[in-house]
Amino acid sequence: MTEAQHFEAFMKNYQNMVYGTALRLVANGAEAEDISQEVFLKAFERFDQLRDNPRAAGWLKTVATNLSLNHLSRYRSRWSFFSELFANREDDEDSGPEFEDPRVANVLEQRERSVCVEDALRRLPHGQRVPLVLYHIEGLSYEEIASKLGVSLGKVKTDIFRGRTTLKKKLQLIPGLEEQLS
Amino acid sequence: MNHRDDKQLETEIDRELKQLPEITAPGTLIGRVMRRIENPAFAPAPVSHGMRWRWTRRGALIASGASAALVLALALLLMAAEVGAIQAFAGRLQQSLSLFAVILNTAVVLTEAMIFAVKNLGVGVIAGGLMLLGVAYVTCIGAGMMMVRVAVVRR
Repeated sequence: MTEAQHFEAFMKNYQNMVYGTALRLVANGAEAEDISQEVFLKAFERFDQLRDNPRAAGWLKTVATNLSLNHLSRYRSRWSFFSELFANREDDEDSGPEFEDPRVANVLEQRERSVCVEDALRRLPHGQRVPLVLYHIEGLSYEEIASKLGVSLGKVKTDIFRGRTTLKKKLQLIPGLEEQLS
Repeated sequence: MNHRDDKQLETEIDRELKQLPEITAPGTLIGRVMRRIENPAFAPAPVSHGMRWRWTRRGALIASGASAALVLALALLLMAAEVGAIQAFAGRLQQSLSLFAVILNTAVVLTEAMIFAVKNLGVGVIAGGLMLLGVAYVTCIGAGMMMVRVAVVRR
């Protein structure tokens, strides 16, 4: 096997994890794919150290997380004014019930539960989704999240609480899920 | 909401999010990366050994380089003095200074023109012009932002 073939096999093992990490943080498929590409290009530069290394998964996840957060901070600092002007209304946490349309509800009944949860997670505002994903999915502590995001511990806790509340509201509107969430 | 409710909410959301399955990466990802890697133009950024040096070594290198350049310059100056090249240098310097004087005069004329404009046009017109410039700038940034979003969505 050539080096490239080895690396391709390496990518096949970890591409879902890397892409999933990026997607849940940036909530945009195209941007997540760009970030994933950057992660693997960095991995290729260090492939000698990562090949057959049990810590490769942790390294990839950390790099994917950091690149995603860098992307979000760059995006927000440059364009936040204009992105808020053109913001998709679906990103608004106070937007009205999205699933009251019976046609939508009928379609949603057929969707898998996880797809609905992913969709609701993606619709959360950046400020709530990112710390929520870092805490519940990536398993970081409050202190680690505060350090990564460069904010206070109190803000992290507040944002996570708001994210949980908003997510619960969105999930309760989904037929089939409302009885499971009190 | 009391502490028990907070804990219950945390547990519910944690359960929902931890149950999420692994997301499948798009089929194009591996191809994109492999094309970059296999492109002869792509080479992982070589880490220059010089860039790994500590600041002390870099500082020492810069200082020694600057010293050598200074010594060389002094040597050339001494050589030039012996053959009388300093007079020629002074002549060239005088020409440069006269060019500088022209530039300075031009700047003075422009400044006086601006002051004349402000006095006669009024602050209101000037402020309106600056506002128009600001609006144009913001419009360009906004248009650029729209183009980027459209391009991302189309991709």
